[in-house]
Amino acid sequence: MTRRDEISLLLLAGLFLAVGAFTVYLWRGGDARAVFTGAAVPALAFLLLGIMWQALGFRADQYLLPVVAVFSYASLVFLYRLQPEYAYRQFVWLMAGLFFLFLTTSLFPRYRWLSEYKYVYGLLGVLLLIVPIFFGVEQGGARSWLDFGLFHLQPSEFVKILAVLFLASFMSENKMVLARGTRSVLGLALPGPGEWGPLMGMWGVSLILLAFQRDLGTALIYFGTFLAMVYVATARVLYITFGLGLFTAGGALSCLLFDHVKQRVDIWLLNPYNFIELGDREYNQAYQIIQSLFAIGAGGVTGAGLGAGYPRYIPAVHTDFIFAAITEEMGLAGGLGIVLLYLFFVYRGLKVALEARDDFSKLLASGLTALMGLQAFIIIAGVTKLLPLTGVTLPFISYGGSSLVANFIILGMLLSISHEARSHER
Amino acid sequence: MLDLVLTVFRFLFLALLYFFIFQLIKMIFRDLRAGEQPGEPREKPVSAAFREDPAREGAAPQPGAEAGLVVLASGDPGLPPGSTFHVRSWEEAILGRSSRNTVTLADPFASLEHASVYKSGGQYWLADKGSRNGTFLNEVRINKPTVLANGDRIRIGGVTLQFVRWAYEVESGNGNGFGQEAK
Repeated sequence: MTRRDEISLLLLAGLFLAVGAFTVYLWRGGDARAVFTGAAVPALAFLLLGIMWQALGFRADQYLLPVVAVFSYASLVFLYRLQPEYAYRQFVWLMAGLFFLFLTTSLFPRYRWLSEYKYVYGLLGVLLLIVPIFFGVEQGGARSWLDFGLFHLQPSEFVKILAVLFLASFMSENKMVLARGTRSVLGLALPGPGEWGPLMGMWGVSLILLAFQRDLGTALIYFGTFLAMVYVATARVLYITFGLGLFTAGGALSCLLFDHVKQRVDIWLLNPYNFIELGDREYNQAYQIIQSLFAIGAGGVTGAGLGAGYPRYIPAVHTDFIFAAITEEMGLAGGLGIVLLYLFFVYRGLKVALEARDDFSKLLASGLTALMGLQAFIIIAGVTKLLPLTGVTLPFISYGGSSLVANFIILGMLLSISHEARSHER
Repeated sequence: MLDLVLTVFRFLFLALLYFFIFQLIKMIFRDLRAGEQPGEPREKPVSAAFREDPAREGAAPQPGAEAGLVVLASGDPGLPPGSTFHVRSWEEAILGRSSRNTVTLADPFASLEHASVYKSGGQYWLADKGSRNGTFLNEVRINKPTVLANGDRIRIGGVTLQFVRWAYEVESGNGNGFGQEAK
């Protein structure tokens, strides 16, 4: 079993980065040595990882890492194009992410013991969510950051992983009973409170906490992942219908309770241009969406070209709205290419889940994949006004250290599961 | 001049993204094709069943074992789909959670002695042994001993087994015996 595909795809991705870096350098100028280092080091680091895995006989899926490499490279190129300082910081976080990726794949080849500690994840997760309420700092309407002086950390990015671990271990243990039920209520077979109690309690707590932090995008991702995992575990449409009903009710309630949610829904439902004419500062949310739509439209099919767009008019362009900048400069084609790559990521992730040999691994892999896919979907849909905008990062591309490192840990876990499943073949 | 170079490189950047995607699709396609061959034998019921238990060596049925039960689906990794159990004509094959049974079902919805399959009057019968959650024959719950036909599906909790008469299988030649009428 060689990893030839992975290495040749990584080389190709490296070429993509080289061309991108050279173009941005031609356009912006700046420190040639910094651009060269910023492009060469990540490309070599990814390659080194591939070669090392080949030497160590790592058997995991070969296509996930190159896809993530393209995301990271696009991130570096566009961040440098937007604001070189962001690119420098992202470079450091990328190196940290790769380190954590290697750590995860080498520390957890036998990750099954992780299923033993489900209540530890539950407690730790709730704790990590509570801490920012008291000690956190607010950024962009969401109070979910911890200030460490040198850098800000967003614990909810890591709680996502803990939540999936908790759900995977709990559901793999109680799968049968959850799927078929032990009692009958109004002709429907339902499990007893002993089975769904901890599950619902955990979810209620985390969603309430997230609502307090006003980080509703993350709450949405949690809830979607939860539903996806329930469906994977039980294959019962009833739960999904019930969950969607709950979600609709929750959405309507938060629309009534939170002004910033109501605003976003209004902007989404009505014509956003109306809100600008109001001239109300409260409605600069509409301004974000409008600028994003203008940028995407201005890109046309093949885009304005790297550096030739006007992304400086889009607010939060380096984090939530980076997809708009990419689409402006690489066009519909570039935007669709990125969406396609996310689809590939999800496809390979679900393939890992299919190949896994036990329920815990299957649930873990499908949960992590759902997490990633939903996050990409929610922000891309938000930026293109398909859904009301909720601020989350575009996985691997948006600027942001916590999110990048957490995503690399998720990738590492997926690859570990894949390696474990395949090392039993033959 | 710079503008021209810049334009060329801008398009090259986009083209490389698509070249990457194209290569990725090509490789994944090849991987899927290659995956089919080594993957298939694992799925074949017979090889899996005989690897599980060396006592059942050989595809030819043992004397007196002219019928069997093949696992189609189960939630228990210890009972993979494809596992085969022989039903001998002179004894009652008991299905249930107890490990003394012919077929041990580690399923929370199965009773200790859940159901039995036996031969009587030249035919095979399925009987429920007073189980808590019922025995289903082709998804219909049985309440009295019922005659089994080749290809019938027996479901107990989350485990589905298919009843197979070897004699039919050899004759029909298509291997699964579905829809084969008695001669």
